[in-house]
Amino acid sequence: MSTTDTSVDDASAGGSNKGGSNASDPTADKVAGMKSPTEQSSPAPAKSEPSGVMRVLGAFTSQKLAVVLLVVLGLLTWLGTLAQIEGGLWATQREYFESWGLIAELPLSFWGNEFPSIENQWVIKIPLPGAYPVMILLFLNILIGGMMRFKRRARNVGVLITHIGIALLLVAGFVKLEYSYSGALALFESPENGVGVTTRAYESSRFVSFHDYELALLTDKGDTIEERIVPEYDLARARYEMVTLQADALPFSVQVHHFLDNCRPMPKGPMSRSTTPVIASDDGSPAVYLQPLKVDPERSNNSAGAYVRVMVDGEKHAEGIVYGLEMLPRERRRFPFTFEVEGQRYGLDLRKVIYDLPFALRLERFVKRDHPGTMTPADYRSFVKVLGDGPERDVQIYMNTPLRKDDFVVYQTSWGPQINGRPAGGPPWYSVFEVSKNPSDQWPMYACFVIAIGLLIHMLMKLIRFLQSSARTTLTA
Amino acid sequence: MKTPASSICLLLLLGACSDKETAEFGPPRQVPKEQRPVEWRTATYERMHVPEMGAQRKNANGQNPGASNAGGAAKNVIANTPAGWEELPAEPRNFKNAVWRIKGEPTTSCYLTIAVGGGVASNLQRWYINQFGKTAAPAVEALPPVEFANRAGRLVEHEGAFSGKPDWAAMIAFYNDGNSVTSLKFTGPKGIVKNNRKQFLSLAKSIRLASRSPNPNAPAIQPGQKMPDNHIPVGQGNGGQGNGATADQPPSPFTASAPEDWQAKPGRRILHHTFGSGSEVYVSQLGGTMKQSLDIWRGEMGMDPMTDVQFKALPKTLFLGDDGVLMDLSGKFRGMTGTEIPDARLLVAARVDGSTITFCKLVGPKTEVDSQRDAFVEFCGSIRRTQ
Repeated sequence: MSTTDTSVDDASAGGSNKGGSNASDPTADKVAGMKSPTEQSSPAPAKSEPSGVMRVLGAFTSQKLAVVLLVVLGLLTWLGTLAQIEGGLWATQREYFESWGLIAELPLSFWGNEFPSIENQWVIKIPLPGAYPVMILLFLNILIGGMMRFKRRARNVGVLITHIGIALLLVAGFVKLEYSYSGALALFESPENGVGVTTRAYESSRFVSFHDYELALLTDKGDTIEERIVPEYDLARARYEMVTLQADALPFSVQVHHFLDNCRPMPKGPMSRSTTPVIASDDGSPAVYLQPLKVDPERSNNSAGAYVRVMVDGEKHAEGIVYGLEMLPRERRRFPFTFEVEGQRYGLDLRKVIYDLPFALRLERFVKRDHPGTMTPADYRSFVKVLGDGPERDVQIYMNTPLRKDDFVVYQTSWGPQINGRPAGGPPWYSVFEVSKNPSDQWPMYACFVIAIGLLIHMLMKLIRFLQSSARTTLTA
Repeated sequence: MKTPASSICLLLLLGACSDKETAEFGPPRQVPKEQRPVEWRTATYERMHVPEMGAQRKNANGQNPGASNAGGAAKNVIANTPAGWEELPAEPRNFKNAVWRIKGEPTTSCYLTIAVGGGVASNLQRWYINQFGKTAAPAVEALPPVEFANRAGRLVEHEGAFSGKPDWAAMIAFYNDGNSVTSLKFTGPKGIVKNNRKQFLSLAKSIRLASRSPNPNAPAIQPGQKMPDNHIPVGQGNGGQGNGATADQPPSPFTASAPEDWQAKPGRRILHHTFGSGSEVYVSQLGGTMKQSLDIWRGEMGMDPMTDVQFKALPKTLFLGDDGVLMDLSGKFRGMTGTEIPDARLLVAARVDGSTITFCKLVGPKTEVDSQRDAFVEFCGSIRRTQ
């Protein structure tokens, strides 16, 4: 993404295009070893035609491509913003910004109303590349076109630094997408008298993914629990067929089937018809089945479930349902489907992915201040105690002031109980944090500094050149 | 063109390979128990976070969950077994909370099902269309009233081929609380069923459900005995309708500021208030979609279901802390329990609340409701959850 300024610099440096028809963009299609169309048509000594590789390289490095990519990015951002109204943030992010391609839909409206009618609204379908490949291309464009191809002159150093900053910004986005993870940590206010509800979470050193599930095989080892994890990705096929899970050290295998992205357990009665298997219970409860529910576009609103069958020596040993409803912070315990094989107790738990923290947080107090006469919060913040190897310390976490510790960042995101953003009842409050581990957490800030420094240098050099040229003109006059 | 096509095939193949039929459990890792609090042996209903399953289990098996109920009907079901009939062991797992049949007639069956979901409409459809092959099920208002378990219920009587058996007949007494239906169903050969109609009605009338007595040592309620006015609601297998009147029930899930001239009415309904000569307001929840629910209330006013355009055009009102729809209907009201108001006005505020529809309904004579419309809107705006 070389800028016009750069082009002018290049042109002036090369000196061949000044005042020509391509003066505003003399280097757009030129890379090292290539000539511009103007040069090719001149009677200068003939040089060999650029090779195919150089042509491709030329295309990658052109300013035109940079402009097209930026326009596409703008289009994706606009259409993605519209799409998330109906489609939800998670699904739209996946579709528009993390995919390789998509068909965007733009519903037509007239003066805010559906056009031509509610029942038969017109929708324009636009095939677009996803933001992911667009940004990769943009990165290459900047890397090759804006930096490698660049004439390394002192006067270009500011622009070069700016390009490095933009490239760093894109790299930070890539690293975040590929290597970061985040989730929610919700805690109730610790009771002042120290006597709380045993099932509630007041203190925790783990957080759970917003969206992703895992199936955990738990083995009761007395003082510890042995966990073996199967990520949701490996259960994908269980949505429409049987997936068998095994491990060499285990005397059984587990078959998973009827994986449902959103469902609820239902007692089987004479009135209910089930499209999924009905599992009889051995504890006097009615038989139960998982009722599929419409998948909410906002993925965190869904509760996944699946059927599991424990097989020992090829025979069915136990059968049950695993249900992934997350109840934190009201319920910190998990309720796995349990079974015994060879006298050892096991559990299968479908749960949101659990991440352990190297420290623990305890919520001492949550404070929410509303705008006068409304229930809209003007400010809400959590007073937490950080517990770890070192001494305990008190920290306030509030909007734009997260806690950063051991490569984790803890943001204040929400509170409860509430219904659609309105308080539901009074204290005890619970506070919800987003915990994120992102290796490139601070890179965007560094990138902004680099870009700012680059632009500053460039502007100063321009100013100096302008002043020098003005002085020369004055002297000449 | 070959290159892109083959590339696409390769990508698809690679994509297919990523979905595996078998997978390995990850490597074992040891985690302290405090880090992973686990309840190993819990009842299915607790593990699944479905309290109504526990309620059904309790209803079905009395004080001894999991034990068989060989002594006949569960202790919480009291009834006068008609002469010539016999009581059989309950089959709670099959949702038969009490079972009878005519002595010496093994083809007959009469059983009580307490508070199962599905709603009235789908139950009627099941009884008429699925089981007896009828082309349509009648509206609930068209069914004759019947006294059943100390409640105003409706009676279904029909005959035909029942699940492939010709000349069969069924009599079903039922009532509902929202989506939850309690029924007594009697099936058998047509002649026998018809001859035992009186006995069936007498059995339906005699049934008493006392599943939630706060005092387990209290004497059993007697057949035909009326519940005291302040008695806890009975027969509510589904805990969702509770109003906090009992020691083991949670308090009302909602709270609101009611106008001074409304009288709070104790009972099983949530935020139940009355005013005037017979207008009543209450909050409840239903399954299904918003439009289905609204159409049910339109049906009570003798109106056809809404079109999508009408549905989208409904005005909004503050309800449960957010936008809900407000439906305002006038006409002749005929409720599911048989209540009739010739010149009525019905106001409903409703919104989707998780997987249910939570609504506040006001119905009464038009002249009374007209003056209370603004109060109703204000009341709806003040409703909040208590937990």
